[in-house]
Amino acid sequence: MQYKRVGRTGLKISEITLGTMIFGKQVNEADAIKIMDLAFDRGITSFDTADAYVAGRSEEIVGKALKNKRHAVVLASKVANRQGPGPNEAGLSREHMMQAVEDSLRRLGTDYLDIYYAHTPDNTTPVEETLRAFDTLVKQGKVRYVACSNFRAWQLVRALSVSEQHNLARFACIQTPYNLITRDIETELLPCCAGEGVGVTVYNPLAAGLLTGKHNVSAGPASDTRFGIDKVYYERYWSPVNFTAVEHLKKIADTHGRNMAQFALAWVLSSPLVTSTINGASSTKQLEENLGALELKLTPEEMKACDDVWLELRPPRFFYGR
Amino acid sequence: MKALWVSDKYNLARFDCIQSVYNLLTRDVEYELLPVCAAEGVGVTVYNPLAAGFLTGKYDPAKPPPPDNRFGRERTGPHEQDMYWSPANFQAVDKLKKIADGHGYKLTLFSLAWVINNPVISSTIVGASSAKQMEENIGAADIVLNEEDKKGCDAVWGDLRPPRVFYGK
Repeated sequence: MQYKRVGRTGLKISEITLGTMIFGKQVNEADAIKIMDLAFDRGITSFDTADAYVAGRSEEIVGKALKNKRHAVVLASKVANRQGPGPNEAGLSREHMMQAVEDSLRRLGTDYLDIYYAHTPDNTTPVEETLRAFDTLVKQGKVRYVACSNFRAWQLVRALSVSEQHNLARFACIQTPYNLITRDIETELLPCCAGEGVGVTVYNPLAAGLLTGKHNVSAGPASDTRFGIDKVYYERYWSPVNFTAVEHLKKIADTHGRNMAQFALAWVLSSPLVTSTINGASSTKQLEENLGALELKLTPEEMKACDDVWLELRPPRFFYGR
Repeated sequence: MKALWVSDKYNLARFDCIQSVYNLLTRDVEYELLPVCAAEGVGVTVYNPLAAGFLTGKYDPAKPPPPDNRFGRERTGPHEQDMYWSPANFQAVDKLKKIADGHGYKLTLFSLAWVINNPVISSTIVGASSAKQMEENIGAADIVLNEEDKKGCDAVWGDLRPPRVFYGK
């Protein structure tokens, strides 16, 4: 397991982060704690949750699992997604953030967060207000590093400029989707992060499981898998073109006898611009299997073949930048 | 955005506008560039509004481009062809022609009007190889596209760039 610096900060995290979005839903508390213990034993020091995951249950379970190892891990949570019906119970206003952080800390059973993410942008709040609130939380010792998720490159740079202009806490990293069939961040966002020293934590590295190769387009989504449980993921990835791409990728992985899921994870892990890959697991067996990706190194031929699959999904067009 | 930041920081002249490609077949600027210009008050001047002439609809995929023409000329041809001359684009042009024909507009003027109508666009750069061509093209400023037309154009772009998971929300 490698440990990487988060952007240009001094924080180091394991290259695999354990995702905990399904803890309390597909995975019950007892199993979740087993998975987290195994993750920690295998060298994973970075754990990612959010107030939005299973209405706070994920945070509660994660907090319990980390009781005796709190200072040995980097714990991240998030703010912005709706926590209640009121007009100030969502978004990135100081009003919402100051309450949301207290609620997250309480559920997590801790008095600080290592990383606090703005879960999505909020176009009803000036980014300066958000950054001032984040800065206050850092000064209060409740948060050590601040970050963002689902921002466009221009929104990220604008936030960085406001942080600098007003000497406020600066986004240490951005959490963004990236996998073999979802590579749009390569045009603007990745170069931007490289240029500005912002870390990149990646979600959906297995395209919500599509890249495990275990799903069948004609059989439809299995009811005990994410695609059967959550319409959002079905709409995001379940498409004929994606299944065709997965078939091509399977052939590439099979050529060297690679496990498809490990192959897909190894591809993301190999990107020098990615700080950490957020990988969830529904069982300890699945986590063990996924950790096998750390042993895989893709050959240049395999990388090129993966590029060709992406080019079929996104045939190059005249690009506005040079 | 980075350049605007530096200008603000050191109190230097600030980019007042950006010149970028934008046309019915080339809309990638809509993800990042146009939103930041709208947010930061930066003008947008558009080049290639007719995709170097491809959106006049006058080319035939079965025939090579004429040698006296932008796509056919030895010096510039291969580069321009790389940018636009493709089966996918020819199919798109056919679909766009049908939408334009629905109002009795020439595809050229319809395509120009689509760019001009966009409120984020400050000015559209149109070349002309003859005064006659220029006279014709100026007519585009008077055309207003309705919602149905725009949806039709969006569908054509949707075929060229099928929507995928977008990293921004």
